[in-house]
Amino acid sequence: MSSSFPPPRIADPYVPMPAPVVDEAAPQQRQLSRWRRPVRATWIVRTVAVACIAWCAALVGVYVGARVERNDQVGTHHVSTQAPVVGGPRDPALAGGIDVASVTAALRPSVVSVSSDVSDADFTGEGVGTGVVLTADGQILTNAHVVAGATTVRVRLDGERDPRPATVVAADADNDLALLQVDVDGLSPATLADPSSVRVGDDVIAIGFALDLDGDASVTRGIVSALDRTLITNTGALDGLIQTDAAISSGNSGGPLVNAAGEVIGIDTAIARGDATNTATNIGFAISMGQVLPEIDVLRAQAGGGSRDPGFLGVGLEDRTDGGQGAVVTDISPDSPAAVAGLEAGDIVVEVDGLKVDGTGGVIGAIRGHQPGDDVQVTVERNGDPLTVDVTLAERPPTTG
Amino acid sequence: MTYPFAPPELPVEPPYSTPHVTPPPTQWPVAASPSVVMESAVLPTGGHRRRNVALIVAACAICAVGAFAIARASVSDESKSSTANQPAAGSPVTIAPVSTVAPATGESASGAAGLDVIGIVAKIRSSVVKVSVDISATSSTGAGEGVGTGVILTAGGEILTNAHVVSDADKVRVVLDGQSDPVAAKVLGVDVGNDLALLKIDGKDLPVMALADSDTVKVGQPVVAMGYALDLEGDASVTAGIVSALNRSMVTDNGALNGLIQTDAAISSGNSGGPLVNASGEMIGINTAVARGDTTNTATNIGFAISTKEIEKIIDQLKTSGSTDQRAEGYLGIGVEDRHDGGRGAIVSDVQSGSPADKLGLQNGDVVTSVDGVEINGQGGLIAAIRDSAPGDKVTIDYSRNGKNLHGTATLVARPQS
Repeated sequence: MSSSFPPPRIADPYVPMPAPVVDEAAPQQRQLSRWRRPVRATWIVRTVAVACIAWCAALVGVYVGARVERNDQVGTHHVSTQAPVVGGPRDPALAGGIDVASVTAALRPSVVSVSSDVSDADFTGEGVGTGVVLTADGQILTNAHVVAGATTVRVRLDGERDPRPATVVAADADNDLALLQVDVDGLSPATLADPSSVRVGDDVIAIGFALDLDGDASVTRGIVSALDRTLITNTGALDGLIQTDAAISSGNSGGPLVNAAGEVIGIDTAIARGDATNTATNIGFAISMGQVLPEIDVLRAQAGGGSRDPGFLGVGLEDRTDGGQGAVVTDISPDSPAAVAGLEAGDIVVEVDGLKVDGTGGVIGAIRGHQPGDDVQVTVERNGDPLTVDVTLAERPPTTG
Repeated sequence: MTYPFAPPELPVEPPYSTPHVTPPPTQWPVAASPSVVMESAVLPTGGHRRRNVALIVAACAICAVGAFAIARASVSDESKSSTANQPAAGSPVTIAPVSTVAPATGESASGAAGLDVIGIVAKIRSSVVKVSVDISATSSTGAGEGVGTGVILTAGGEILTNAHVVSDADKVRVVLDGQSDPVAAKVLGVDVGNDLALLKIDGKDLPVMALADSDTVKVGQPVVAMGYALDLEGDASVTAGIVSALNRSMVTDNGALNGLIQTDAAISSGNSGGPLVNASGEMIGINTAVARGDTTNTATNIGFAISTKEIEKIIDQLKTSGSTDQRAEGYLGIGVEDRHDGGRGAIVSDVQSGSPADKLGLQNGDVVTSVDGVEINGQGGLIAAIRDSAPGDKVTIDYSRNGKNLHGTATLVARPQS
């Protein structure tokens, strides 16, 4: 971090608010001209995504995207193999609203602060995020970007004054999740929600060490604003995200988004920030349990050695500019799985394995969720007609130059 | 008529955000993550610009405060690890004054959903006033106008607000609910360190704000904030949220605030001095600051209110003190830093020779964990605990050195002149 940062204006509220105030000197006409109308929706989305990354970076100074595959110290510690606690089907009571105080009290012992010493080419210092207790014997779930570039990772348990040393069992920058291990037993594991139990409109709270303020974690309240959001990141894309209007700030990363039953429905990961043109208010994103649950197994397997390679399709993509759903293929890598399957530039990818995908991030996320060798069905729209092809994903060819 | 600011024209940020650039008083030591700037929530409005509210909000928050960190300057100031309390690495945090309060008694545990906001507003509206000040030409921002919020404490016209709302003020005016014209107000007392001020207007039978029993405030309880956010035309704004945390502390230009209530109810410039109330419409705090993000970090709906517990401690003092007498604060004689390893407590960095700390035997590197039995979570908490005491007070200090827990008593002195 250099000292030549521009002044901190990005998050300032003077970006286009629908300000009802009109000054004689600034007639309505002129004011309106400053507010970008939502014509360029794709542009806005992209901006938001970029801003999110910037935020993630905040935690550790710079989001380098480097994987912390394994920590040298792993092996000196017991690594938990206990199964995470997963809740049952949706409780109808979830529609009844949330009792913030009691849900907070119940979950607080399962929320920890994660602090890292980060030292790399771009940043040296301390970063702070949040973690969720996954198993009684000390396994902690957090975001990969919380521990990216970390030379030392510490976890402070609820109610304790001093942090404990932690090791990074495995981290996956693509999916932005990491498992930590603390040498302790008798913790209270959080209950992870059944992924299918989440509905738009559900009451939620976020718990986390926002801004690393002195004292206990902060609690904020909101609702589920949307499901299945996707975001493009430095290292790929996140999909299946839960969007919430509960206030998420730097330091919340890795912390839980919780439903009225006290179950963790997501891991708070990113937030949209406004810029000089656009305003973003309470648009936060959490990685859903639909992504987290399988990823826990992947990370544990990864801890045994070897990293997971994402699948490779071999297409260039761009968002649609006409407001429609899907993503447009811009070019095809020669000899890639996409070329073999007969995909063409101009095709609009609308489904992967029968599931709708929207936007570049959605397609990238769906493909990267698979491994090389996996067979997937890709449905595209070509000249208005649907076309489904079978594709066998490959390994990403080494980049040259 | 002179205006200290550039002509309004189109509201573009940069020109408006520079009214005063003071080096940031506080750098929060957490490296990358919490670079948030705390600003006071007072809204300074100057001449023409006052109508371009939306655009100048941020700038206002900054300049009005004075007592808080300045957002613009703070980021570039990281390298400045000054002598005293600043940990080196990390970005600064800006806190703007905001307030939030928790419900007092027997309300349902549910969130804002269980809140009768309409009923609460009807109950408290007449006790919430607008405080408008003329800022002195000799202030660092130059002449201008500022707007904050106040709360009627007594039927005879005593009004509580933040000290930063009336700091540098030549003239203070109060607009009562439903009135179109302001009345002149006298500043009865100011405690800059605790950011509270007591005003007085002529009046009788004024509607008094009920104060909540501060012991009933709980994390998660629904709250409502009311205040003249952005000095928008018309009535005060109402926002709802919950109590996010209790006992926050923060470092300011004038020391530190502690015992703060954190809320996710939206707090903006102009909310300073306004009430945070519980579901029963009783005040649990005075909205005072709000955290702002910077280029690196995001801060969303992190507002802070001075709790009624702190207010009750200070209010009698304010009533009896001369209008601008500053309360004598205790002095221990150390520099402090936050811990850099995620743990709680405050690190002693610079023991002054011959000071009470020196006599107690404190050494650089010791971690202070509690003062008079109250847990210390960071440097702000320690600074506030000491400054809230008076010279001559004895305080017991728990600290750890190399993992060993130690304990001692120091007799505070007056801050040496320098």
